[in-house]
Amino acid sequence: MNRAERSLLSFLDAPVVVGDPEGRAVYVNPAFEARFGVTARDVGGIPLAELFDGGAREALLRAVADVCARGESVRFPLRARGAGFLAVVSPIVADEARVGAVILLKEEIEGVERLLAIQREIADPLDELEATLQSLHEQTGGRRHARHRSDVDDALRALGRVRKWTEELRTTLAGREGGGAAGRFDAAQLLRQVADRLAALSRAGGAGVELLAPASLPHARGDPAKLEAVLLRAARDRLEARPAPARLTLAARCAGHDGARAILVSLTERFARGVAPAPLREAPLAAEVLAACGGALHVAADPELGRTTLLRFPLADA
Amino acid sequence: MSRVIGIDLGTTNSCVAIIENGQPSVIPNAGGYKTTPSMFAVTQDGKRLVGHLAKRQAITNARNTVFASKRLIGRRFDDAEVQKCIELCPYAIVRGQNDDPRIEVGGRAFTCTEIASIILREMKRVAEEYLGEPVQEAVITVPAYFNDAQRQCTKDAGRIAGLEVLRIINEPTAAALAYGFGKKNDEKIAVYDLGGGTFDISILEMGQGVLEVLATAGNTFLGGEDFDRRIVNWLIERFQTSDGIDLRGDAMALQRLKDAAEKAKCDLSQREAVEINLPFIASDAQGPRHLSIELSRETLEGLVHDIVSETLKTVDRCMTDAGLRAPDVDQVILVGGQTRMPLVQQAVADYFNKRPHKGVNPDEVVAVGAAIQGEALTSEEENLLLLDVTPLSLGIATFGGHFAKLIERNTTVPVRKGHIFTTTRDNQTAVKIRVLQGESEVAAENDLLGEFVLTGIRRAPKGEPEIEVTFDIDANGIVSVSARDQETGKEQSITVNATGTLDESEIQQIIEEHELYEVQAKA
Amino acid sequence: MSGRDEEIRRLMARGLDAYGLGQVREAVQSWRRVLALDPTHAEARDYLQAAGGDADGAPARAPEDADLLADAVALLRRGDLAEGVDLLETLAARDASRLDVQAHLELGRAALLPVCRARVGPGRRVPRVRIPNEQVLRYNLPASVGFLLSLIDGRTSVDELLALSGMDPLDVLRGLASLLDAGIVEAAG
Repeated sequence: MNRAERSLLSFLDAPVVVGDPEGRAVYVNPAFEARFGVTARDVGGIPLAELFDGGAREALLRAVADVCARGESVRFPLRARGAGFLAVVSPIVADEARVGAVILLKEEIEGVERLLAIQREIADPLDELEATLQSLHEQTGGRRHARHRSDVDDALRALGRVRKWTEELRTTLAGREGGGAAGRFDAAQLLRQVADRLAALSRAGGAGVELLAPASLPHARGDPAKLEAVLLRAARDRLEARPAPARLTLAARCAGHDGARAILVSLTERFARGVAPAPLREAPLAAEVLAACGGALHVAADPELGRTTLLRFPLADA
Repeated sequence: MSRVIGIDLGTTNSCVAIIENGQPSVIPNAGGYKTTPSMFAVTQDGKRLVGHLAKRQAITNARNTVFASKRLIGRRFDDAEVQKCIELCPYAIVRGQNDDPRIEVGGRAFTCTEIASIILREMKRVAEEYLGEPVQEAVITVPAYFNDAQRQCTKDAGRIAGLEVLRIINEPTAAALAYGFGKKNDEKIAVYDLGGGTFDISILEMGQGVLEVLATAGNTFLGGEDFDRRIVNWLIERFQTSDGIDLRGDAMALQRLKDAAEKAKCDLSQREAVEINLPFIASDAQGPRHLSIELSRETLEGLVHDIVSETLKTVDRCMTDAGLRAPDVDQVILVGGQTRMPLVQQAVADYFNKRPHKGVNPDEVVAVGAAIQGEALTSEEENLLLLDVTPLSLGIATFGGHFAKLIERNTTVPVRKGHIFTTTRDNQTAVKIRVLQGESEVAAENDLLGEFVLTGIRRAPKGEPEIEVTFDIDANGIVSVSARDQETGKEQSITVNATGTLDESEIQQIIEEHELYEVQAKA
Repeated sequence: MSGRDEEIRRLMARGLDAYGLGQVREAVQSWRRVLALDPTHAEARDYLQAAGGDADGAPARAPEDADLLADAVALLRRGDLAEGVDLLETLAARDASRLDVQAHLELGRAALLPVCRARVGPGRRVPRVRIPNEQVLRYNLPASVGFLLSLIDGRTSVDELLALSGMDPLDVLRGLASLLDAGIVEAAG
């Protein structure tokens, strides 16, 4: 990929990754870095399959194989990091006429609020339709109307299916209202994902990351993808500092009682005497994540005990 | 030659058996238990647990513990059964790429086939540890009402687990085999199966070497766990009255209560009363609180009487479907651990006015039957071989939304039937065929098995071309379809898209991934 | 006697011992912690007054949370990790919105984790209850430790307890350490 193409992709808001004919990632644009918390340096040379998990991985591999074989673009829905995308995979000719793939991820739902409004508008006519059909159902009770009754039954069943899909639309959109900033997440689950990705991406030797969290926690309010990116960046910064901290602990717990409960996520580092800790580069990003959901940030440092960055998230169902 | 094991892959518990020296033998796991919970969990540090270990933390780690995935296997995401599970289950069920339900635990989405394969792999491991040799072949049982997709997924699960599945047989058939039934013609057998999570009643009739399923009914959300829940709620209410503390919101207390309730329920099948002791169940400003409550069999029966009555209503429906009355039934078999309860045994005996057979342990009987079938398939003795039948009619959707049956239910398998298709428009070169399983005359009310497109038909006026499509059901009840143009003799190209099953590449990927993980299951 | 009463009794005794040895600062810290647990404890208040307030000579008064936070940090720095974390947990329970307290609690917990791990020993060790049930009931154990005790069956290892309990790993290790220290449980392997 030449420099002109590379700089063009870097302007796009949508996350983009480019794979070579061997199926290895060779480039991600800044939007991909911000969305998924990895840098071009991290993913350079790793198989495309390792960028995503589970069903997303299968779908992506099939699409890339298809595109490279047929030389035509493919579009398909893809679910990653708790969000839905429309993935567009297009061929790109590399050296010696071999074909790689450009993968662009479009956020699937736009105009969430408008769609929610439309969904609400649909509800009234559906209610009227159901009432009319129920009335017809009662009127066609006798043997004379058996055939009409069967038709009314079919219509009622079809209406049931319409209701189910509009309800699914409503719950999907409601979860994405506000552009995804006020999502919900299980902090214990999220820390495990961060630890897994650190294990895959970490280049630092010496310090490992300790996880201190129960099996699961009540859901907190916040954007899980952004928080994951923040924690990943913060942990990597510390692990790559020289010298690295003696110990790095990622923790999550529920604090408080009844209506005053909150989820606390922290990154704690213990460093050797006389060593200045790495600057907190993630603080502005963390503050942005917290501001969107009504959370708070606090940093405590002690020359003997270490430093902890604490993020407080309100409960999602509070 | 490798030994063949029989596996009862249950909704709540699984069991494995083998024939040794001509006698069926149920294989215990390392902890000495003859059944293993059909549960899978991912812990906070990413460890995978299966069986008893998974069960012990099912409530404290509810979001990442999978149970009763058998209710979901082979179904589509929009099925009513799946939607009900979504409401009731603490773990997340999401829509998969094949429109199948997938279970999200530990940050990853698992297919139901994969979950089943994890349980089967554990049963395979139990057998290999006991026998001291590798096990490669198995017979696995499924409910009588399982359709093609559900059977195919179960078979795939066996394959992923490293087993060649010689046969998929129906659970009531296996139970009848375990008791040595299937030899007397015209004998009618009622199989009352009350397991941990599901209730099934099947009426079988023996005839010409075939155990035919006359009728089957049940409730996939009714079982022993409902009995446990009643006891837990009773304990919570009593403790709240005596100590003023509500344990409902305390996951650790609930885990202990559930384990204690299940144990008490089992003990009360042998004893008239038990003491339930849970020290340090809670604490407050005054210090630690202990739970110590006596539960009598009489109280337990009062708590669950309506559940037992509910099962008998279902038995009634099934008997009506079969066109039978209670005196017409010759033998009654009890299956499932919950049938050990004296109240249940008495209720069934009263209904049929005969004592049910319980010589074989009810939670082991299906696995024993599967082992017997496995032995029959690999031994020289033909008189033990039992033919099975397809439980559901097979046909196609025709113009107007109707269902045209091609193979009737209860047809002995294997079976092969052909049908001639033609075109409905002039110069039509392709036709889409939707293959369905079920009993309704309305196509939309049956299960879509798969659909395929026949292409390359010669251009001709409608009604002229003749395409013979052949439906094949093998001994496992699994369907395959082929087609042939009668005029040219050419095989037509067919694309079959099975609904909800995994394709070969997906299966291979799962097999490879599983080799990376070691699963803990110690009882 | 409840867990809290026993803790108060222990702190009062410790304060007196320290005062007798001329360790006024430590004595004052202990009595302040009593007042943190029970602001109405008249005896602790009297002792503080008799000691002349805190060791720096400030007038006797009910300790404010800022003082207690400073005490807790001092305990942590001194290596009294368990005590420091206990005090921080008490403060956090009083006002969970104090993020400075919560952050120091995280520092304490992160420091305490390897200590508890070392006390409990390797993950493959298998704990078992070494005293009869009737004797266990005489101890003041919180419900979380009672739950851990219910999982100990002589066959489940420490690693398995961590996996099964669903609890925060530090709480599991602290609970096991307390059971080991009390002699209720022993571990083999």
